[in-house]
Amino acid sequence: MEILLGNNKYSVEKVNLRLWLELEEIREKFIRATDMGDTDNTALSMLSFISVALNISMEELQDLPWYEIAIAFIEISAICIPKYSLAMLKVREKEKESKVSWEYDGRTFYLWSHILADAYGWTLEEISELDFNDALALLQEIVVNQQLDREWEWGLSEMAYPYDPNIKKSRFHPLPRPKWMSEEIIAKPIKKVKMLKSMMPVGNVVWMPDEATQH
Amino acid sequence: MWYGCQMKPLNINQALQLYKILAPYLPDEIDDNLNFVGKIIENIKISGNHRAYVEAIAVMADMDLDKIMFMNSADIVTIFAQGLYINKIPSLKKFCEKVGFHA
Repeated sequence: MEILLGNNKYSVEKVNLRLWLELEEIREKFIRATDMGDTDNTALSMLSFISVALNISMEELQDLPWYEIAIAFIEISAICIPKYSLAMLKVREKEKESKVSWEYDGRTFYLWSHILADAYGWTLEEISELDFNDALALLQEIVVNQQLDREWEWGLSEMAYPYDPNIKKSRFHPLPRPKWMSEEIIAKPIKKVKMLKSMMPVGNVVWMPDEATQH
Repeated sequence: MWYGCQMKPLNINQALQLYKILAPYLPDEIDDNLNFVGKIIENIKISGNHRAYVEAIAVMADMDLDKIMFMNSADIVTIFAQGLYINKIPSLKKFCEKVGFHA
């Protein structure tokens, strides 16, 4: 895809995993800044986003017309939208109030690399160069497999069958699944029920205009 | 008569500042660029907050507030309309709404 900025054309061929994660981190900052109406940080994150994606300096972008920056930002964002509709990305867990002590900016890449390397034995460079769509799909498969393996082990342990004093028996309690792995609840359509004439209200019934035309 | 320099389109930071100033006065419907500009001026007049008008010009023309206050009123309107046109204010409104920028 070609992006026009100033008098130059830049092309974005492929977004690898490392670049995609870096752009997502900047996009999070952009979202926080826009929510607060912070002009400086909104502008800074937009320029940073484009600078990282196209590998050009912020100084070159600072004085360009706002509409060129906006168009470039939207076009690059569109390229970064995942191709597959993954459950892992659809459901967002509630953000915990306190972060773990080992959390830091930029950790996501190393966390995901660790999971992928553990599963496939790839090097950091190979993982960096993965297409982000492939990486996301593979990660979901790995995480699903890990959960199913844990559920199997859980089912074989005593902890899965706690004693219930009310029924005086042990009952199976499955291992909880993450929200995104829960079964999709598909609302059943409401059936139309026929009413007996004798059950219908008697007397002068005032119909609303829409119902009047139907009856 | 306004003898000021040619106005350039604003950079992203200045454009967002302009949006913050004008957001309460931007009409909901954008039918025509000229009508859009006229509606903004009318909304500012109705609100009584004429400072917003002068602040918007200061951002668009990169001029001091004091200098604007002593200008000819016809020139001020010209600069305002020109600034909104050059900076594609309807598109700026659409963009800010699309990304959820809270003014």
